[in-house]
Amino acid sequence: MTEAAGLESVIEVRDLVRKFRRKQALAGVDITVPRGVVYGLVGENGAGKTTLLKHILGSLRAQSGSVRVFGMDPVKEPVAVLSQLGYLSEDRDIPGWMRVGEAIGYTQAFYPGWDEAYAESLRERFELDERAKIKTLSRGEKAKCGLLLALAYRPPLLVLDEPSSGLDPSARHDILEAIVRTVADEGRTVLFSSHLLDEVERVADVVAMIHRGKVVFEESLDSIKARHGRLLVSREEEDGPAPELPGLLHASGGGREWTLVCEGELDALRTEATARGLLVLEADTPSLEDVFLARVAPGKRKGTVS
Amino acid sequence: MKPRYRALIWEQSRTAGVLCFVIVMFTLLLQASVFGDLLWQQTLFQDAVHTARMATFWALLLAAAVLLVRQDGHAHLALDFEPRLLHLPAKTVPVLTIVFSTRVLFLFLLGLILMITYRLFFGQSMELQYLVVTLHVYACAQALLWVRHSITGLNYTVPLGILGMSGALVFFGVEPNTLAEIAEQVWNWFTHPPSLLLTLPGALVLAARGIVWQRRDERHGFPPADEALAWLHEIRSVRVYTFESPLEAQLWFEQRRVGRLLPALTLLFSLVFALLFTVLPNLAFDAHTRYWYAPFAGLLAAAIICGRIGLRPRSRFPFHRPQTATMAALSILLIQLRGLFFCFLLVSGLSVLGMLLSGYDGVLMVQMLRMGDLDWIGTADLVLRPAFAVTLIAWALLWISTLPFLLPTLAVFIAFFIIPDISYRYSLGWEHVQKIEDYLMDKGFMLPIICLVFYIAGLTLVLVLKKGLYAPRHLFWGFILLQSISLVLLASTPYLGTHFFAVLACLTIAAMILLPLTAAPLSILHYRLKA
Repeated sequence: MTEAAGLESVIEVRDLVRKFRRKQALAGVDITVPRGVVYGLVGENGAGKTTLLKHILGSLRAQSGSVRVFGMDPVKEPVAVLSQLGYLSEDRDIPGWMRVGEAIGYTQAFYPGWDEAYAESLRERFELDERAKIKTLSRGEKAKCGLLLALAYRPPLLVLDEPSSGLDPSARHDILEAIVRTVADEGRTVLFSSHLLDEVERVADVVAMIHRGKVVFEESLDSIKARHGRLLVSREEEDGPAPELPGLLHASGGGREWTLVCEGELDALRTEATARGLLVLEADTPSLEDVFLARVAPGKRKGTVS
Repeated sequence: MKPRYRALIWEQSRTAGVLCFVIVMFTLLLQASVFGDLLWQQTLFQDAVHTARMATFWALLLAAAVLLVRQDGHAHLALDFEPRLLHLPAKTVPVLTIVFSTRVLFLFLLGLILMITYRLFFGQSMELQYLVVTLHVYACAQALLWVRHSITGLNYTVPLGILGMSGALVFFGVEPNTLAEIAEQVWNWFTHPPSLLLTLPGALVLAARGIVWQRRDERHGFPPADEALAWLHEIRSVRVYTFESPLEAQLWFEQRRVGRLLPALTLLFSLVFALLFTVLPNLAFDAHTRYWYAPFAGLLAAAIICGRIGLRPRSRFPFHRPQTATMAALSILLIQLRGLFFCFLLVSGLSVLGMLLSGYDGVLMVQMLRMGDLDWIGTADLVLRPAFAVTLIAWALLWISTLPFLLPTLAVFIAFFIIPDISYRYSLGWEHVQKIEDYLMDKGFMLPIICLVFYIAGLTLVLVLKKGLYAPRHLFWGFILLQSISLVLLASTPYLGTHFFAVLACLTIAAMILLPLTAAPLSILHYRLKA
């Protein structure tokens, strides 16, 4: 399914199914996270990203299918898995009554490999007062504190659930570009979920897109871009439906000018459009956001590709 | 009326209406059950009437409590005015009036329905004062809850003010009895229906003032308690927390989370029960010993609440640390045990105080001590024995909300008591039911309780083994502990080694004491996995 599957994998999820009463949260998810990559998990709100991460953490038991982290079942061996994993939750669930210093001391006790100097440098970098109570911190400061706790023992796997939610641009830059990349450059693995596609595009090596509990695609960012093309075309007729092209995913515009996002190589798409009497005004590689919208935006999809 | 207000009335009526409807149904069942006892001559008329009246009053208070709390967006219980109502495009005062009036109206209707059903069942009118008191309690509590953020410092200035005024009056020569009379007159005033004409609008005005200030982000009054004590935090040096082991860190976490809760709630509930028994002496089972057992009732009530909070941490933070469910559960068990030890000392002291205040028993004990009929060891035995028994019950109550404990308990309870009882009463043709009842009456309630405990203990043991929560050697040590506790208990009974039921009872009590060791890890595992 994926080119990443050939590398040594840290996480392997196979045919994972999860239902919450009548709602199908995950419907046969397969992903493979190779060692040493930044793996972005994208999808709309409610697509199943957090549910998938909870299975990886061992907070949810697989109703069907399997989850392996470092080759182990996180439900059966939570201690072995969690001791190698740093996690930042979406709701930053550090208890409000704790002080920053207390949260650091408490977490440190569970990880023999805790790097005190690194923790202190992160605390200073994030400008966190160790006497401050967690409940008095802003959303962004809570995220930074959570990140500090997840990073300071240098775990081989870092799992971040919506890490930049509520962060200002400079903090987002700090977390994503400075820290996440550094972690990956050290040969460690980062799995993070986000619905901010521009940031995923900036840092991820491999991207998996989840839509309604299913993985729409899972491949490297370069491959995704090489596999899709965006054309701005013009036609002679004023009225009529959107122009058709092989592999068309999404068409927007009206009248004579249309923007088409298609699956296929850019040169081939351009040739095909010209052959169909369309004048190609612009042809380029779509952004991840364009691909995402073309594939999952409700009411705008032209086709589905497995 | 504007559509927005009609919509709000509809929404508030639906919420309050459903809550009140559930409580009406529940109380009707209770009243009908008492009436059934009366009909089948299982109880005396006076006792039935008293029980039904008390059940109705407690149902009214329960309704008031339920109307005071709601669930917020995180499904946590919240006591504040719902912030979303402040964001509605409507004036604050009408919105607040609708919310408050709807709840008062439904509480009033609930009381009225229950009083009518009470009259239908027992042919007597229930005193209006129960409803009036409930409405007062609700209105005052609601107003205080809604103003507490805007009018700050109420939580410590009001009790300090009352204590200060009482102290000043006593200092200037006013007899304590006069103070009690004043308190009684104030209480009597609260039981008169016309007083509602003052309390309800007063509470509404106070609440409205608070909410309007809250909307404008204005605060008035004294500094909040934590700000008033902020200087303490300032002068306190920051402690660098370092723990030797994960267990030590987890124990610290649980101590900070629930360690102080049990003693604090025990003290609070003891005072509440003592106060309740003072102003409503009819509520007490026995007027002579009411202050003696108020702390015991307080400890039991606190244990039920702490058990629930103890096993269900709001944050999943500790579950994301590399620790087993057994270790997380053991930390809670040890911290609750520590809290229970302090509670044991606390209720022992308070019960002595209560015994002296209760009059007859206290005076008798002091006289016997003076005359040499009772020595200090005997006195300690007299005081500590009931406190110890209550502490043991509180220990069991702390873990009553663990899932494997609760569900089979209910199932077996229904199987043993309710089904035979109903079938016997309504002559469903089960001939053996009479025999079972006779047997139970003969052996008391021992046998079903023994069966229940061993059933639950066996079930949890099978589950912890199946899930690998304990190693077999742990179970071996658990068995040794069970035997040791049983022998200690047996040694304290007059039937040492001779009476089969005494041996069985000691084993049962020992199993109940040890049951949390298996039930709590199962509960934590269940909660951790949400499965």
